[in-house]
Amino acid sequence: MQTDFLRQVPLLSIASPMVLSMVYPVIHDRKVCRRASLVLFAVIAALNAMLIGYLMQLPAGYFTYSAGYFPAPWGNELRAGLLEAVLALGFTLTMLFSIWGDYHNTFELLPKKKNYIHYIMLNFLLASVVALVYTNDLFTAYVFIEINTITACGIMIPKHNGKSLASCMKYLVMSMVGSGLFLLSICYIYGITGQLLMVPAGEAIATLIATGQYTVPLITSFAIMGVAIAIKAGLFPFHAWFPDAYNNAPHSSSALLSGIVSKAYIFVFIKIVFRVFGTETLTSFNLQPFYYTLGCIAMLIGSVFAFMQDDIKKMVSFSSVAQIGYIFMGFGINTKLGYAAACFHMLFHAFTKAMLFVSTGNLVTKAGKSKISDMRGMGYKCPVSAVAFWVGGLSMIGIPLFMGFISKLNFATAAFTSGHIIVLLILGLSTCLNVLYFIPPMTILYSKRGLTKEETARERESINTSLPLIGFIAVNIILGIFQSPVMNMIMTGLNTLG
Amino acid sequence: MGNLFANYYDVAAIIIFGIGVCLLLLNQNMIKKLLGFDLMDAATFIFLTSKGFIGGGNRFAPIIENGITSFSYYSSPIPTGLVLTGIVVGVSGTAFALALIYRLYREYHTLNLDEIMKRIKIEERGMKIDAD
Amino acid sequence: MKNLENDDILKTIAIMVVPFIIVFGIYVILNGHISPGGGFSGGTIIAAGFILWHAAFGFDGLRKYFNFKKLGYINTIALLVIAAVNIPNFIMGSMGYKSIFPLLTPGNIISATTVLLLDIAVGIKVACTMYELYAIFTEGEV
Repeated sequence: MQTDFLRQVPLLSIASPMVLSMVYPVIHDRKVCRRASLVLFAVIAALNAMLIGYLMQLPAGYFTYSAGYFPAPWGNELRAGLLEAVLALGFTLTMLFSIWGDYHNTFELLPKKKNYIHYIMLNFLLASVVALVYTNDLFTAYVFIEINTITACGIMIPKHNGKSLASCMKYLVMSMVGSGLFLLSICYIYGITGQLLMVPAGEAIATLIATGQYTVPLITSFAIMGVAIAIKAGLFPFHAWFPDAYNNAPHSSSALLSGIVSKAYIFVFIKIVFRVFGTETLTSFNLQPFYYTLGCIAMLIGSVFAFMQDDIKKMVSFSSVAQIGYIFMGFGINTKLGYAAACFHMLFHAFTKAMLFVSTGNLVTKAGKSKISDMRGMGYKCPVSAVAFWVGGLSMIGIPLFMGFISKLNFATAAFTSGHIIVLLILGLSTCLNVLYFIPPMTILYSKRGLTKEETARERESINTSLPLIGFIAVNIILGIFQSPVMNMIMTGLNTLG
Repeated sequence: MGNLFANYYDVAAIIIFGIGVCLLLLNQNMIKKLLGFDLMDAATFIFLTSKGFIGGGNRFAPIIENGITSFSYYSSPIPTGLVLTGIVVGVSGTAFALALIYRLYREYHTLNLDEIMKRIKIEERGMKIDAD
Repeated sequence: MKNLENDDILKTIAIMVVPFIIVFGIYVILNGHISPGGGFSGGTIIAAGFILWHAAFGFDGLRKYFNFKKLGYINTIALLVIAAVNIPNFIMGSMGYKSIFPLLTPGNIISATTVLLLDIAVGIKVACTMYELYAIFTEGEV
């Protein structure tokens, strides 16, 4: 009988946001709802940090949590390893800082009557992201992918103006295609193996591959699932509606959409590749060239389009498309270091892109307009947001001392040790493109040319806006300098992911 | 070729799925997109339910009758539970999409997504000229 | 929908048929673990009965039974019942205990462990939600 309290943390992190948001329709006060949500996110982050400490003491490095009274092939399971706990902590912290830092933009400007619905959606979004990180069951993954889609569309539209509704409709259509294809692939796997849990299905598929039966259905189900996850995460040919959706959403919602929603889908796909199909299968089906080719093209195309924008929020949105290309490129290099680089980049992109969106939101709200040329001198009026934009930009470019440098170093090492030299060249090229589009806004923020004395007077920002941005900056710098513990945890977690 | 005729449930389900995806992506009327989504979901549920069918002619539907509780007397009931969950998920997605379509119609008075994107571009261009 | 309020045929049929619809919905909910049905389908059938009453008698005919506050409370209580039954089940199951609800002979109404309680709670929640969605679309408020 395992009676450690810390074993219950995965289930509690999934269930408690849902239970809390069940009482929100009865509490009509939005401030109480917002504060309760923030406190709950902080508690869940603390519990996940304690879970990391507990997991490092276990000899096996992971534990399986069988939820319910029925054991393995029939019941539902969660599985908590080091990698899952680190990613859950990262996503929860991203959500906490993004919602906290967006008081003036989202909270005060939304319609007053039914504002608690926004917080119900945020709670369910956190529950579904954490569930996708911890789950060990294929059908549970499908249900939470659907909840993820609907709540992600729900947080895009609290302002009800025409542009956000239309971009939400297009995002919903593409996401529905992705979910339908994912369910079809799960039905295929269930039809071939008869199992729904990931580990028993993996053992059944291993015996099937060893005896050589059912090769065509296996390749078909893997290909369908790969296309489904590429559609939902926004890989190159399917990326068209994502920048529109990020641009027209409120600022904290864009931070969450580009930060944690797409990462949850990619992590489910990595888990399925490790546990159900096996990484050797990816090599033997010869499908990984698709992923790193599309990833490389996405890296270049996203950066080129970002360079052509003159609206600052749209530029940050297009840069998200490029970063998803990095993750898929790391996934396509089918080595342990490639997967570790992809997972670290997921963590990095969640923190940095959320920080960029929140700080851009503050600058745009203060300026009233959103073109890059209108940001002239904004660095004096919003000091903390401008510093956060600088840190985010330098991190994305890959300057040492920040987290982005570690991420690019990992990708370069993975590409070099596995012999894909072209990937190194494209990595360098996209870094140059990143410099081209990040440096102009960063310098315009502090330029004084053509502005009067009072327009460049220094002002201060409120505590509610400054503290979360300082939190983001601290995480970026700490993880950029002390990267060994986190990378070791990711590598150990990857060894026990299969 | 004989496999295709033996698994006719799967073939029919995939054909309907293809029709549903084409409707969802290629049609410009938003209500027809929603019908495409429903067709796609229905095809997946046919596919999943047919996985529980055990042929041979002497297996009955999994409703307990006459107190016979041995599992070799009935077909498999597990896929029907999965389909029930899937139907609920599909209904909630349809409800959300309908609410969005209703709001969009109230704003723009048209159900054509191309028209709406054109009007948004014209508004943006109008705002750009005003700002400059 | 406005000129349906003076329709005598609809009113007479609604008075005769809606109780049967609601009772049939309750039957489908209670037999969810024995025959096809369960919480979701039964709740939808009950909601269909409410919608027929709304179509026949207009908005005010139903508002004395359901207003926005009452629906909020019913939703919350049903959801909290589902959470209170499921979460201790998960926690006790992971620690290795066995269920305190007995698994009696399959085929009776009181048989599977907590499925009956969950079906009732899900049915009530689904009926309220379906009616709320319909009312928001037609009238703009509940």
